[in-house]
Amino acid sequence: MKIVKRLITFLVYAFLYAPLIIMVLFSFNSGRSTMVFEGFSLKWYETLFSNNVLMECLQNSLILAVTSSVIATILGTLAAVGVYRLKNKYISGTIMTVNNIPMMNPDIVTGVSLMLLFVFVGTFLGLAEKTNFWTLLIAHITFNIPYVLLNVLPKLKQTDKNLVEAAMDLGCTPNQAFFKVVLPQINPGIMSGLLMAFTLSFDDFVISYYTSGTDFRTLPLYVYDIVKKPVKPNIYALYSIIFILILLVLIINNFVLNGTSKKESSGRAKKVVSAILAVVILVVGVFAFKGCETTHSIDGLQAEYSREFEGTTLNVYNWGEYISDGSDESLDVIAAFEQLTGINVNYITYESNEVMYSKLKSNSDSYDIIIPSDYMIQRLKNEGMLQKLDFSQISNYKNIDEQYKNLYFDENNEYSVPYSVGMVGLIYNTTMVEEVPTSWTALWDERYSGDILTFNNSRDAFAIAQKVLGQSFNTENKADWDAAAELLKKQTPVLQGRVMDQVFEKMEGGNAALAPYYVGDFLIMQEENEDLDFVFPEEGVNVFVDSICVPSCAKNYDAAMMFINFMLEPEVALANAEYIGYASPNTEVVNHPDYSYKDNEYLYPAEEDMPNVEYFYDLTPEIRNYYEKLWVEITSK
Amino acid sequence: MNKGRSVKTTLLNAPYVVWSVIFIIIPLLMVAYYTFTANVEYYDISFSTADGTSYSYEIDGATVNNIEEAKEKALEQAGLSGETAANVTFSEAASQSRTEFTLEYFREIFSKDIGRAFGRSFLYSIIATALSLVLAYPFAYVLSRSSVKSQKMQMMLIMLPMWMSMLVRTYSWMNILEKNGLINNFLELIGLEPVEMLGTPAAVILGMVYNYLPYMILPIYTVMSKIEPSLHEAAEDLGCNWLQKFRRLILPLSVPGIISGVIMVFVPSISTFYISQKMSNGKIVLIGDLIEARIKNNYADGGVNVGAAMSLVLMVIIFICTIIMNKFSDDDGGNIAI
Repeated sequence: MKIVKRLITFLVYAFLYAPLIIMVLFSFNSGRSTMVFEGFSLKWYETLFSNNVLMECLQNSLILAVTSSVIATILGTLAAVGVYRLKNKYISGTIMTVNNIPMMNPDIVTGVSLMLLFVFVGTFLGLAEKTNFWTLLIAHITFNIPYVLLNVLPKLKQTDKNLVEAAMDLGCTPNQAFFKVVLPQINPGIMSGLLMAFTLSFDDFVISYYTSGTDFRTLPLYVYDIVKKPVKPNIYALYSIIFILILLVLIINNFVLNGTSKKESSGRAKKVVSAILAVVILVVGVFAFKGCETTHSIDGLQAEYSREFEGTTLNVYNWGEYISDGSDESLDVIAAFEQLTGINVNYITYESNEVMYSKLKSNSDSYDIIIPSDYMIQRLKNEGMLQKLDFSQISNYKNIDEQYKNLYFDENNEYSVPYSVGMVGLIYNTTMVEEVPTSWTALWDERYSGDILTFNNSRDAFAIAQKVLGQSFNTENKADWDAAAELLKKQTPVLQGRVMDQVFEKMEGGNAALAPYYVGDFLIMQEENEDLDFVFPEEGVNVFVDSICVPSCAKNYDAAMMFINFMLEPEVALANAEYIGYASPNTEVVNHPDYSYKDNEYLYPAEEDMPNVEYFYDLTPEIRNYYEKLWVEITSK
Repeated sequence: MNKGRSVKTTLLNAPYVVWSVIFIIIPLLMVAYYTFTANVEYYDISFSTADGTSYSYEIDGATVNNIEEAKEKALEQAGLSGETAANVTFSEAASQSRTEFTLEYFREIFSKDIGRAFGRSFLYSIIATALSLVLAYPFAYVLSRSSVKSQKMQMMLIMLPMWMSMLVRTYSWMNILEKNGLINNFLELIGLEPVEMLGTPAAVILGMVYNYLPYMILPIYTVMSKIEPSLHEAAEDLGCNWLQKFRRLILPLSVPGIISGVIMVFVPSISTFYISQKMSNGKIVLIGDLIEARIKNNYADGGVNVGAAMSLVLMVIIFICTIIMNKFSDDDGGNIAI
């Protein structure tokens, strides 16, 4: 019997802790892989502390978790006492039912419903910007209160009413009786409610995902956001630190402190004290590391950039991992700009054009800089959501290659400055394919069944089928979309999966043979796995240009012009091109002797190797809706 | 005295009641509102030709990209598509929008595909809940019978994984289950065939069980730890074997905990989107994935409404399930009860 008991306990703990142990182990990996251990190294811990964005998100998470759990605890305890004292069963019953709603409701519904409220109120009242912390705080308090209430109420019911009366008989006022008699008794409930609220808030992803704006990001949101690039073990390193810290507090608490205290209540109090201690240590640690930022500067630019906008805050809204950020000895572009001009940059990221668009549409926030792709620029322009740029303030525009000027989405070069150019192609593992693929139809090849990946993104996935069928990406004929959807359905049986960011792990680790993805990302994968190769399929591929624009809601127009000009500085553009790995439209970069992708055959194919390319155009809402519905049909088979 | 007290009770309740109405009730009404209304964008186009005839058209915003296309379309409808700008004078051309009542979104979610996603979510989350119960129940029992000191320590050990981000934990599982992942590497090492794990329904269910197991353990443990040791002794003294003891004593007393646990695992499982997306390689689409995808991909043109409609139905399903679950329990204590 004892063995069975031990076995059960062991199994559950092994199950709960296996992934955490893996996490800690791979945080010490010298390579970037989270599957193959290449050697012991502390480098991810080092990069961790130089990653300001990550540290800021951790800080935000802690601030949010502490404030929301404290407020929720106060409100929840008050409510518990109130409900407990209510004589009317119906009223207390109703309150408890409503209280259960956030717990009973799936997180996604709570998140969506609060999002709808915030959007509605936001557009209705035209609320000022910077409401993001508050929306998150409100959401977190809302889902935390019920847990506090449910922890406190049972304790209240257990309290002995006679004690309160005794206290009042001895001359206590009702208030005194509450604070001196009731409160100490329900304290354990309050504390466990607080702890639970903190835990839930710190780890919450789903509700935050829907209710966060963009200028206040928590750690789980950050982890989710870095989707266009591989997940690096530095996230593992961060959570390993948190994990080990809590474990330490636990051990100290149980084996050192417990020896001296026998009383249950004081033990519990100590536990809470040590939990709070752990949080304090974390917070202090974060702020301490934030303090040791390195300096970044570019010589010779001081004369060209005035400091007239010193102190203003510029909201820059860009793709995740789409700017050189100082990691691996690169230039920290944002920090360099801030140092040069004194402007504070509030750097925010998005995961897709559509997310950016919906934030622009639904939020009352103002953004000064956005970097959408071609077709999205077309849409934003059509809807009057962009401002014309003042090219007299962007002297570096001369660096832009002529072939990227006057593109279809901005025929007269009024609204956008090209930032980065990419193409889609087919990545394959030379050891896993029988012959070099030349056509997109390889993604339907039954010989590679189970080793084929495709995009988990409707438009990109459709694009491949459309090329196989010889269609344009931009057809507005529903029958064409139906045909493409039929073809995609036929692909499902041979697919290993539909992935976006996971493609890095999959291809680098040799887990899949074929995957369509962006050429710049292929170069990153190839660094990790030399067996990988790349081809532009003969049917044609999608090319995209991400360009810098200024939305009409921008409030710091001139500072935005300055930022755009700065982004075109040869050194800055070079750092960005090296970091992103996509082709640069900047001639100064392409011809720079230090550019590591100079003349790269994939990024800059020679004239004769140039594949057939086509841009995505913006489609009508009707067609967009139509293929989204088809996509549901394809994926939910 | 009595009146003063009730005034104070009202004051105590007031902040939370107000909070609940604004941030719980109203948002749910918003979900219903978005489900049944559509924001229709259209262009009002009026123009007159050189001969003095005037026309007025309303062009559906969904079928055109911009106002120029809307104008063209209006001309087309008037049978004047060939007309040059010189012959036509536009007196009014403006983008407008209005909110309309509609059942379109609600109807859309009763399509076969979305129905399948609902069914799949339901099935997977029931299996995940059952597995969690099987794992958690004996564990909670063993835990509740261990020493007080060990119990306290173990409670924290159960809570600890919840502090780590769900996303990171899921990623870590992916490393373990991947085709060339840790388990398959190990199998290869000892000369066995690799097994396909990631991308299967089992992986998704494992992800659910892993992430929500603590929610099953905690409430069951709580009720079990309240069973007096003397009751165990009494049962044994009266000649119960362990099976009888379980059936007549432990099981009936732990029902409220089981119900709380079941609800707390079932609800997040049925609505998850990250876990299913990652553990299935994006191949198994649950209802949460659909809600997320529609809101993300075409927010402004109907996506948010379809998302709201799916949320509404999901919520109703869960409420019905919870009510049924609670019929099994007559406990009114600290457990979740409607």
